[in-house]
Amino acid sequence: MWQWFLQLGSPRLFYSMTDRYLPWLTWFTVILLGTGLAWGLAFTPPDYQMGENYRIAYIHVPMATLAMGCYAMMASFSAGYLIWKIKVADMIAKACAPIGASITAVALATGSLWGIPTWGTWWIWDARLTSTLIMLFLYVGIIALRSAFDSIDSGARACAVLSLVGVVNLPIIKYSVDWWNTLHQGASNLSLSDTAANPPEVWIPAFFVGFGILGFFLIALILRTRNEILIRERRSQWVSDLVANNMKESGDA
Amino acid sequence: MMNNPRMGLGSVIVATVRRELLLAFRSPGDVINPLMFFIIAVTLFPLGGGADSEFLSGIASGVIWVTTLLAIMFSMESLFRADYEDGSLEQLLMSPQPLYFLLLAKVLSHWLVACLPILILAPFFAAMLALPAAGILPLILGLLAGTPTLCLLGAIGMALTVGLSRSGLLLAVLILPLYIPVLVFGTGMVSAALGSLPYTGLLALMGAMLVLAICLSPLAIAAALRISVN
Repeated sequence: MWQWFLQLGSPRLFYSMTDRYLPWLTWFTVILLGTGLAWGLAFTPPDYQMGENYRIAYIHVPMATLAMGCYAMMASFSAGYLIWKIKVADMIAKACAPIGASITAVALATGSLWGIPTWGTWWIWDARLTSTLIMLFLYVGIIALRSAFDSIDSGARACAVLSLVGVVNLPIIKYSVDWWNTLHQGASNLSLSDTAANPPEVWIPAFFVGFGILGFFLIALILRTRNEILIRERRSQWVSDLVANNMKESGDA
Repeated sequence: MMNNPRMGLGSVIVATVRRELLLAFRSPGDVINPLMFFIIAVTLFPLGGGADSEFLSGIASGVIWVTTLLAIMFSMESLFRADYEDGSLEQLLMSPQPLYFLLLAKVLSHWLVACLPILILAPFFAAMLALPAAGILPLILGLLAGTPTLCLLGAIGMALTVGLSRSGLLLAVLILPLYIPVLVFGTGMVSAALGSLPYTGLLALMGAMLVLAICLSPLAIAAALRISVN
């Protein structure tokens, strides 16, 4: 186990390992997403209150969950980079930021689209919406900070520090905004955790889509990390060999 | 002076604060500019939003808090910039004295220079914005507990960006999201008081955030400064 962990820390081994597992992951994702989406969007019965509108939850809920999970992941890899100086950890953390920002944006956008028919407004300053928006700001700040540095190493360490500071702040933001909301307006019951009202034919496809989207996230993350590895290791022998090999293969075909 | 390892912790902190204050009063812009920014920015709101006192009293605490927060953010430049340029930041990092306390002393002196004048003027401007008298005390108490937290968080952002040539707007993008909890609790205290609700719980939470910031942020500032100075 430890050996495996250490091997992933080497960019070259990360590259070759993901080479092996990426096709499997892709097939799993396609199957899960395909079944889940077809089932959830076409075959599950409509909700008695929201009609067909609720189906957007099949995208919205996994995205919103993943938006937070991605931040936690980015922060853990940042810590890994700061503590053990694992280069791949920083590359993964770097890949997390734009993906996390897009996921957060999708979660906000799908939430707004859902809000128009059900709440009658696409934006309210509700605690959940606001704290998600702030998380988007945190992602944007980390992307901006990284792009401001010329040196890869300084940028990586600065972003790692900022990600960890954001982790301390994220729960505080969450609770402060909850507080602020309850002071200003009555709590509107937007909780989606109320699974009792949802029969299995509603949540089983959600389960499929959820894992499918997780798989999609991992694929995007791995592909971005692989690109980053190729860019940073472009002077090393194995990358030149790889490129030469690919050129030859495409020349043969 | 800071480089003498035999100096006691107390005298090191006093020496650092004295140096910072002396430097600040030799370049009075560092003291006056945040204050002037605060005064001018607060004045813009009645001009832009209408001088109707009912409208103003609704936004007064928000305006005071947001302008204070922006003034602190803009003032952060003077915390590390000059020290970075003349090399005294490197001396600070190499000092045998505990960096944790040196940084706390620096931020404390920055608070004295940049925030205390704003705090003194805040009640007058709150009154000018027609904030009801019941809201003045929670506003000041909130500012007293919140502005040091803002300085500490701002110092993290400034330490991360001090090595970059143009960091003004980047700093805003980095630290304004982190400022939100303080803003929310600070304005929440005033609204609670205006609604005749107790606000000591919110004040305690702001105090808790300050304690957390005092404990953790010097570590982040030190890590960030080491990255920037390299």
